[in-house]
Parts: sequence; structure tokens; C-alpha cells
Amino acid sequence: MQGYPLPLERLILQLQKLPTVGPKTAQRLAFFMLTLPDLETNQIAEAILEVKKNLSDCKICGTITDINPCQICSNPRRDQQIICVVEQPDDLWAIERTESHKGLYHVLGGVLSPLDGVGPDSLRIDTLFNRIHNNAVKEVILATNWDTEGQATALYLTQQLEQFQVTVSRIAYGIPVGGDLEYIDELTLAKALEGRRTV
Amino acid sequence: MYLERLCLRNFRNYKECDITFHSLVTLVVGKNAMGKTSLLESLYFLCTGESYRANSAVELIRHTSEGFAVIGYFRSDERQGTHIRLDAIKPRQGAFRLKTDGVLQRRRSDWIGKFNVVVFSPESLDIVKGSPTFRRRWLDLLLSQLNREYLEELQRYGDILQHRNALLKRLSIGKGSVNEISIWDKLLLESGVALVGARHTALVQLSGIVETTHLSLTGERERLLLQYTPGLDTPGMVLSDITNLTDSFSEALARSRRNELRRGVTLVGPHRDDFTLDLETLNGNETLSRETARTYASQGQCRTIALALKLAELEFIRGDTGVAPLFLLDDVLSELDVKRREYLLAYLQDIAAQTVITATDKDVMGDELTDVHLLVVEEGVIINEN
Ligand SMILES: [Zn+2]
Repeated sequence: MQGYPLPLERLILQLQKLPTVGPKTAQRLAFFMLTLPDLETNQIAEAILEVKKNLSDCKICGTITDINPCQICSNPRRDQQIICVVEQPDDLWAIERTESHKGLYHVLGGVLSPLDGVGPDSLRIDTLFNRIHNNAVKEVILATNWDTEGQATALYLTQQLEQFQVTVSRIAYGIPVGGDLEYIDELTLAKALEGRRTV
Repeated sequence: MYLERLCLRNFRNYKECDITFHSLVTLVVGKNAMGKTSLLESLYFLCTGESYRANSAVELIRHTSEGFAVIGYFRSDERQGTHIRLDAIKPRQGAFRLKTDGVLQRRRSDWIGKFNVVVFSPESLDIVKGSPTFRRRWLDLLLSQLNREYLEELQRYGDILQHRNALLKRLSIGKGSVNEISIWDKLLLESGVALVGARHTALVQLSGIVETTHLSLTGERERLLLQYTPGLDTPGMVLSDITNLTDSFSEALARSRRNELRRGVTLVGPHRDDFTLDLETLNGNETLSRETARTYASQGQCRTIALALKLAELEFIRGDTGVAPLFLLDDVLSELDVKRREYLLAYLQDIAAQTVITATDKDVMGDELTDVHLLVVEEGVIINEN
């Protein structure tokens, strides 16, 4: 049996590294790329290369950014005394889209998950405490997801934040149990931010 | 509401199959290993999203095929009644998919309980004789069908337990931080108390039905007593009092902490729950003896106990929803003596439960039921007889 030509085989294998892409989808994508003009395949390849080269983690909040510190951290008009804690950069953008948070963010880079060997040391928790300590932060909004790991992380942070003079709140209103911030519509999320409760 | 039509594709030994059901009794007759049980298994799967025999859905895929589909068409009893279509699809690779009227359901809890089911099969004896796992599984599935919050809590508890065990394992080899364990304690406690409370309420109600049913089944000669034994190992706790329950669980966790850290596993909580089944021999108003059914009951007594539990399950669902669930009798009718068989069939007729019965011989029904739809199975092919 004759397989695909090697370069094609290689592309199909590489594409399968992407999330939600299985062998069949990878094949479809690869064959689609073969039909594209050179200009477009170059644009795709360049965009993939650039995204790694020109983006880095914000040294303050940890989100992905092209300038460092990021647009939000370097914006003096944002309320420096409120920090909203999220799991990942996508969560930050989900909240930004609601236009109802005027403060800053802090990206943990994950959640507590003993099953995956993720403890507090693997998350950006120390840098959060440093920010709170050094910048007279008054309120911390915990916006981790509503699944078990997100809840555990919020609980852990709540306990640890008792050592600081800060109000700790958790966004709650209207968020379904087990809900992912990413999938919640903007209006619900905006209401959730307004209706946050002190813990 | 009843199941009107079932389509199977590549499920166990069925390649393609399209059959209709009687709104009351359908009898499926065939020699052994022809696919009678698989048919009931598919019905059970359609209602619950899991098998009562296989451990994983992949086992249910017909050999060499890419996946299976089970599609059920349900109809309500009224004349111009509504239809519901349920699809359960499992590709060999990839996630299991459940659809209601073509709409994909994201979670199993969105699916389960649309149409309730009770199965009485040779495996039902495990509830009486088997390990606590069988009894928890039975109770969990019953409550999950009736209450989606229960199923969600159960899944949440399972997640918490796995994380907590992973953390205990890390701590037992000197890794991880002790600060973390209190978080998982709190989550375990919260979720565990909700489960124990729900199980307690259900078992109190169930034990009453079980006792009455069993008395009827044995002509008032034996009394079956069902008693919840939570895996908290705390004598004197009050299960109906949430505060007391929370304190008891909390104390039990504190007591076992040292052992848990040494063994790297959670030792107390509803994942260790069980219930006991005791059998009293009666003579009029006098109790002659009381024994643990699991160790002392004969095979025949165990079968009657299993039947009592299954009928109680049916009655419990009927009491909760106002509708009799689909009742599946897998190869057990011939095992019951004439009196219990008559009792069972008369009861099912009385409450108008849709019933699907499998047997090797169509005479198993005796003369009790006349209006029966007969299906004959041969090597994964079903022939409608009338
Ligand atoms: Zn930043």
C-alpha cells in the first residue's frame, strides 16, 4: 500500500497536535491547504511563527501581551486598587468584553489540581501576594471557574488572603454550577461581576 | 409516556434492528446468546446512558464496526400525544453523544431521567450478596434518574475525592503543602453531607416500601429490614440534622487524618456508604429470628429480596414522578416460583407499567397475561410475531 507523500504525511501529523483536531480533520485541513495559493499558505505559516516570537507573558499580571507590561497594566486610568484573579488569559478577555471591570487582572496560569500535580507553587500566587502587598490593593475579585478545581482554588486564595487587608469577593450571580467563564455570555458575566459577594 | 419504537445499529450482536413495542407487555423469546439480554441492555442504556453489565460503552460496540447508535421513539399516552426521540451514539474513537430530539446534550445529567427504567436481572442478586459497591451503584442510579442535582453532586464528590486522594498520596511521600488539604476537606465535607442527606431521606422512604413489598411477597412470613450505614464510622450521629451530620463527618475526618496521611487515601465519606439487609422470620406477631441476609439467606430468599428491592425501586420512582418506569425483566421470570411470578405480573398489570420480558420459552408467562406482544430473537435478528 502506498501512503501519502512524506511532506503531506508530516503536515497531517503536525496538525493533529492541535486541540480538537483528530486524524480525519487533520487530513481535511491538509488537503485544503494544498488548494490554497502560495501567498495564503505563507500568511498562515508566518502568523504561527510571529505569534510565538512577538508575544510574551506580562511581567505584572501574567497575561499574553505584545508590549510589556500589557495594555491593561500600563493604563493609569484603570483602578489600581482592584485586582480580578482569573485562571487563563481567555478568561481575562471574556471579562474585558463585558466592559464592567475597571480594575486590573491577575492570571494564575491554571488551577489547583492535585490529580495533575498542580499545587500552589505551580501557580502565579506568590506574585499576586507581592502585588497586593506592594500596591495597597483594596479588593480582590476571584473569578476562577465554577468547576471543582476552580472552586478549590478560590477557597485556597480566600484562606491565604486573610493575611492581607483586602476585601475578597467571588463572582457568583447567575453562573451555572460547573460553568466555564469562556462560555458564559457577556450580559450574564457582567451581572455576575456586579453581583459579586464578599467571602 | 411509553417506548414505541427502538432502532439499533451495531449494538452488541445487532447490526441493524428496528422494532416496535407494546405499551404494556412485550415478551422477547429466544435461545441463549441470541441477543435477548443485549436488547434489554440497549433499552437500559437509552434511559440511563450506562450499561448494567458492561464497564465501558466501547464493549457494547459490535465487533469491527466504528460505533453504535441506539435510538428510541417515545410517545405519550394521549391520542395526539407528543413524541420524544432519544439518540445514544458511541463512536469507537471519541466521546459518547446523547441527543434529545436531535439536540446534543452537553452533560449526562441533562439526559438522564427523561424516561426512567428499572431492570431486574440475574445481576440484581449482587445488590443482596455482593460488595457495598453494588448497593451504592444501585442507589446512586435510582436517585440520579429522579434528581439531576444528585447526579451532579455525585460527580462533584467523585472529582473532589480523586483530587484529595492524589494530594494525600503526595503528602504521604513528603510532597505538597498541608495548607492545601484543608481546602479539599472543606469541599469533601460540603459535597459529602449533601450526598449522605439525600441518601438518608431516600433510604428511609425505600425501607418502608421494601418492608411492605417483602411481607406481601412472602405471605407475611418474612420481614426485610433495610438500614443505612454511612461510611463515617461515627456512632450516635443524627442523619436528618445537617449540622450534626457536618460535625460528625468533620470529626471522622479529623480522627482518620493520621491514617489517611499514612495510607494516602480518603478513608471516611459517602464513597464508603452501605446499607444492611436483615431478614426476620415471623410467626404471626412473633419474631422468631433475625439474620443478615447477605450471609444467611438461601438462594431463593435472596431472589425474593432482590425482587422486593426492584419492586420498591419501581414504586419509589412511581411515587416521585407519578409515572411507572419502564420495567425490564431479564431472564428472571423462570427463576421465580409460581406464586411470586403471579404476584409480580399482577402487580405490573395493575400499575400499567410498560414491561419488556426476556425468556427462553414463551410459556413462561402462564395464563396471567393475555395481551402480550411477542418478539422472537435469532442471532441478533428480531422477528415481530404479532
Ligand atoms: Zn499585565
